[in-house]
Amino acid sequence: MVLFFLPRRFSVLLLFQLLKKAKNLSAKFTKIALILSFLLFLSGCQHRLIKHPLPPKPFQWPQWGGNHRQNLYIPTQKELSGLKLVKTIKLLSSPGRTLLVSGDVLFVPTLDGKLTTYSLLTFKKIGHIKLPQKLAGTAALIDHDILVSLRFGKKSLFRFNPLIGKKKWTLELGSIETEPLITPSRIFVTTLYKGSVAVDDSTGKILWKTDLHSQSHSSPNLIASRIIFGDDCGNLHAVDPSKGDSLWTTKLGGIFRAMPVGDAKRVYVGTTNGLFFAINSNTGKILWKFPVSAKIVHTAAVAPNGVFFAANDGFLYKLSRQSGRLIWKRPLGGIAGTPPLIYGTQILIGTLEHRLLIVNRTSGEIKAEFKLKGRIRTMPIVTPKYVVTGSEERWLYIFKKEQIQ
Amino acid sequence: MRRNIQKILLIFLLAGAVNSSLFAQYYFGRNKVQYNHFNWYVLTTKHFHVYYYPEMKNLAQIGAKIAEKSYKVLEDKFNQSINRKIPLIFYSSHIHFEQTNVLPNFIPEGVGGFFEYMKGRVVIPANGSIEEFHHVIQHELVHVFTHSLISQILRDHKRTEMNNLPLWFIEGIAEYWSQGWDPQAEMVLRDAVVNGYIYPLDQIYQINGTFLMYKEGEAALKYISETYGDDKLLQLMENSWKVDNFSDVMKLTIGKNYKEFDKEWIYHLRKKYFPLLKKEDDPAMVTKALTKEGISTQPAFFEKNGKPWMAFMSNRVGYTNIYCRALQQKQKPAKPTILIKGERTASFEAFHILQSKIDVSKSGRLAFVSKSGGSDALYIWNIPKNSLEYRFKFDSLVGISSPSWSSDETSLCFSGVDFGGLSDLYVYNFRTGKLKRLTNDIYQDTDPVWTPDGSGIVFSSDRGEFGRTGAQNLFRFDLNSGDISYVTHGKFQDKSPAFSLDGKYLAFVSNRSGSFNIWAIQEGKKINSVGKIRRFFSIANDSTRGILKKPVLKQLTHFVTAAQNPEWTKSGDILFTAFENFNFQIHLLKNATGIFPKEKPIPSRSIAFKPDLWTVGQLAQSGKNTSIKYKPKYSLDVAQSYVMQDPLFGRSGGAQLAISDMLGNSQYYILVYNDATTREEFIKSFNVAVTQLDLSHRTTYAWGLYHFAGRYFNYYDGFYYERFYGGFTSISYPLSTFRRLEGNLNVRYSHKEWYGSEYARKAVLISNYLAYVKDNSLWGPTGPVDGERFNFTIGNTVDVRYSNVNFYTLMIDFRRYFRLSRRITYATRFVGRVNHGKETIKFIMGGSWDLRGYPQWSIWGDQYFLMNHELRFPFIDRFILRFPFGGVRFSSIRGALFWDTGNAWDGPLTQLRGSAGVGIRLNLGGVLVLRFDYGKTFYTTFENSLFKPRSFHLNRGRFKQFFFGWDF
Repeated sequence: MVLFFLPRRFSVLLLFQLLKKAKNLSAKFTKIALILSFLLFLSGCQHRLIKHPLPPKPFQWPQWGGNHRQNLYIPTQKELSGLKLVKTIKLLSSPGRTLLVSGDVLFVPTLDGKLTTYSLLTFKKIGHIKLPQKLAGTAALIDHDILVSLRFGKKSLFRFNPLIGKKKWTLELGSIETEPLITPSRIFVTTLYKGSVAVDDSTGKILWKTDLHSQSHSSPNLIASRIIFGDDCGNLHAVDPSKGDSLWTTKLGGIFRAMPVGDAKRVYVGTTNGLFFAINSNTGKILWKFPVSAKIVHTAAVAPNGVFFAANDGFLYKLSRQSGRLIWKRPLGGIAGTPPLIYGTQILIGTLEHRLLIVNRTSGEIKAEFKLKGRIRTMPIVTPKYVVTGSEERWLYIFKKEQIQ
Repeated sequence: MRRNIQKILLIFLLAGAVNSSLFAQYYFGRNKVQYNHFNWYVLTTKHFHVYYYPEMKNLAQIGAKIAEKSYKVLEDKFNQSINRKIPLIFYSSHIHFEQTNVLPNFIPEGVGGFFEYMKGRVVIPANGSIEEFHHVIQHELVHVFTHSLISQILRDHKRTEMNNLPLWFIEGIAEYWSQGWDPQAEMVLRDAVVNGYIYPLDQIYQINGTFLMYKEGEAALKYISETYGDDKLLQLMENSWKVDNFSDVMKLTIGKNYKEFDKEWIYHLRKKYFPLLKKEDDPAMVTKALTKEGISTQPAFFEKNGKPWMAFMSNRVGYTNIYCRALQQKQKPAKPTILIKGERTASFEAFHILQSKIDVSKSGRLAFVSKSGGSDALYIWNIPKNSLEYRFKFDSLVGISSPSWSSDETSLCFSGVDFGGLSDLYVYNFRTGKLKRLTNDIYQDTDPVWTPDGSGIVFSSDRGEFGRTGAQNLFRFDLNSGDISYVTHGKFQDKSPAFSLDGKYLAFVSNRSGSFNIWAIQEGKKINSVGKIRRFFSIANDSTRGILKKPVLKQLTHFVTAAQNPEWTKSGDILFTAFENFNFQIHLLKNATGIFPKEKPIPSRSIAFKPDLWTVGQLAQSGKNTSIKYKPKYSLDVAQSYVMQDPLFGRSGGAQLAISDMLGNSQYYILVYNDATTREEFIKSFNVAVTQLDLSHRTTYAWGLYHFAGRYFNYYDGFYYERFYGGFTSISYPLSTFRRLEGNLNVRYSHKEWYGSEYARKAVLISNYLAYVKDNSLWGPTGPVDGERFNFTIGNTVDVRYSNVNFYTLMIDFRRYFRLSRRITYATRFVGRVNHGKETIKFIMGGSWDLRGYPQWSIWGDQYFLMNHELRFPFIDRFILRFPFGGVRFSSIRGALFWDTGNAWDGPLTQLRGSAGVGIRLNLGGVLVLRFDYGKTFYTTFENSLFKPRSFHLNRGRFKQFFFGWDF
């Protein structure tokens, strides 16, 4: 049993030494015990991300954006202040677009196709698995399982148990460059070559599939009971989540890299041709549009008092949700590498000039700024104790929160 | 033997390392002359370190501002930032740029800038045009961003290959994301499609690195951007890690591989351009071609004995020369004759064949420009006397172009670029001997011509309303008032004005119809303030005061491709340069004045007011933008190591390092290796050499220290051990691009022991060498085909302590290449070498490089004589092997007929060896030439003297020799 808990390489060596010595042992039971230990060891040889089951109802940051509403808005009365960098971890490759948290376990997908777990108690590595292909930078938690979508290869969507490393189901959907949307009982994905797909999360069965005749680099979102996403031909689609029927399609031009976000009435999304749109979520009609001088590749964040987005002109914008009127715009000192994440009255955003910024949601004033070691393309996440982000030069940063009510 | 050669080469490399060309071409090679010593400063901005010299401070600030603006644009397009400050090294002119030490290579006139990725340096010259400066800066920055993005993607995905982005994509995207689709790209694509030589992406490797590849790459990416979305270009880069083949990357990104894409794209191009032929023509179908070989441009009309002639520039023989030929031909086409030979001497280094016009006065005086040393010179050549009349070099000017005679032949106007990089108009008056600057601003003023009445100068300039976006219009400079007024106006490129000889028409080139064609303005007439009727040509002025007749604008040619440099003849024809089949040739448009009335007048938009001149914003003078004097900081260029197992000499290992400063002016080379076979030998067998090169001045210096020890072998010494250490210093002074003087002093201690012998030799050696080198050869695919090369070296080596060694050296190497026709060359070489004295170093001979038919380096002696004769001719131009999995293409397989004679010997000469035969040479990728020779060897015996031959003998059998190396 000791072997099970030892690092594999050492335990194999130790086992062989013991078996060698066992030749000289006359007692048969010793040999039998060693062979049984070996079999037990083999059963534990599978890659494991975690060593202990996750607690029943832990704090979770289960998917990109934090929850299935994916408006990048965390309503809270708390404020982030006095953030202190407590741990910097060097990874083997740049981290993906988002991180996951379940309880005290931090899941870090890296672009070389690995998924690694760290303890948020000790900041030490717990385990890792190597995926069959590279990630687009995302993974998601379904209950206590992990859902992985891959950027390349045929078998590109699968669900597995992080404790025993066993796959529950696998789907051949081809390359997926977007973040899967997990709703209770269903998973929605947009793919490069196989359109948009709805999957039963427990069986992996495809519930419906729509052919887009175009690639999609825009993650799907559930807005006003519709699945909304964009494609590379500049079309914004709304489909019925239960059957996959098209409800409306609106041609906005450019290419969608950002995920649409919305509220009960409107869908907000920016395109690579430098326009930010508000669309009627029922009809697909353009309600207003706001031009900027550069591409919009990041998802917007929607809060009660406005919609926030970053453009490649290096500004963070706040617009009125109703009219699209500019409320403020703030230079970030470089173009944004992440979408804005609203945490109460503050906005967290990373830039390609290596800075993590905390911006006041009301005034647009930069409240705090952290210079990190690489371009920040990993959206920061906020746990009860920490703010975690990563940068392109293979760094993971854990900031401790000092929360003020 | 190999070790000995290694050693000789190493010492030679260290000792002779003063000149960069030496590395490339043995002991010949042209010189990269540092005519100017630049006093460098560094301007630091948010994203750049801008290197400049004080004379171009204003331009550097404009460049820095443009670079920051381009950075913003590309940051958006690539969704990427650069993690370091980008070094931008600016030169104010191309002539200065050609002196850069960032790259050791010669920089041709056509290179507009480059990105050196080892240190991430961007090196750019200004050429007088702010718009072009902007284009090149952004083009090179696209390379910087591409390199950064791809490196990051490959690093993140644990991939190491960097070769998966093809060159057509790298250069195509740099063009497309820097200036977008421009008239030049349109001209090339129209021609390629209409004349059927467009290369599909599947075959584009065949034109790798050519200008056509740049523009085809740009066109393909333009199509992808317009059809599939501009972001797909970024996705092509982002997906490059997924598969090895770029055709597959395209399949993943746009759903089509090369073949599928080619089908769609080429069909689109045909559909777009073929309908043009309904209304427009190829130049060759409607005008008469006067030249056909090489590139021929810049026609200038003149009369000789009352008959029409033209002078023009052409590189039809490889070198660019100025030619002249009669225009009236009875039966046989008139053959051009060379008027002035270019690219062989320091006076006529380069005629700027595509940039500078030439002009001949009524009395037959040809005005032209040539690069001569560190600047351009203005020349007057008397055609009737066939002699040089004047040569002018102006201290204030670096570049000169397009001189034009005044009608009374007392003045020349031309466009000049000063040390600060500004391109302005100048007039040189022969009577006063004074140079007058007419304009002095940031606008590019080119192609000046005198108005028929001599009261003004019409020129092309980007000073117009749309100039900042690259538009050029024609303007008139009034010589009395100094006023500048519009002649043409609009968002077009109006260039190369030329007045007809009767003064009634002004022809020029414009892209008003989509491609560059010849347009003409017929004179208008107006009454001036003193009541005189005057001609005028401005179609931009809408004033009606005193106007008797308005000028009329018409399009004279309707070519699908392009016409340039119009020049009127006396009979009203127009000579011009036509672009067709990706070549420039001179054509004749007959009876242009007769065509004019038949064409429809083109209404032109005149302007009621004088638009404001455009300006370029200056860099903010804030604390972020600081300027300091340049201080060299060294960083690594190359580091490489090796481990070698030799069956004879055992194992050895070592490393080489090269470090240099940002400008490449100061370079260090460090070599360390060890070939010890036992632990005791380790210290003794440690070999190290350090060399420093200073290339910042015209006279280049090198010094070095070394210690070498090891076991060696050669045929005349056998096996021996030698340890030697010491230092050297070298100096090289280039007299011009083609000639230089070299000096070298080497001091070393040498200890030599022969295996199997008790004898050992110690010496403290001092060697001095002086050499005079000339090289103006022109290279073909396998070696020189024209010009001559010469090396004369004298030296002596003396043992100042033990008197064991004392000899002098004399070496002559002369090579001459005679062009029998455009593609056939007769090459000769004469080499004589003598080492005379005590313990001389032996000269070696034999093998494919010198005396063919004899084993490599099998002949040696302290006297050396070699004579080669070789006829070089084309054998197979293109040869493609096809396999089921692809193909291999060979080009430029050349043939040779040779006759060699020579020997290396000690004491009196008793025998001269020789060989004769045929050979073929194959160039592989421009870096390696494979050679195969087949023939017969022979020898002649002598009675102690070369002048007393005794007998001639043919050796038995025939030899076959296969080796590598360029022709001599």
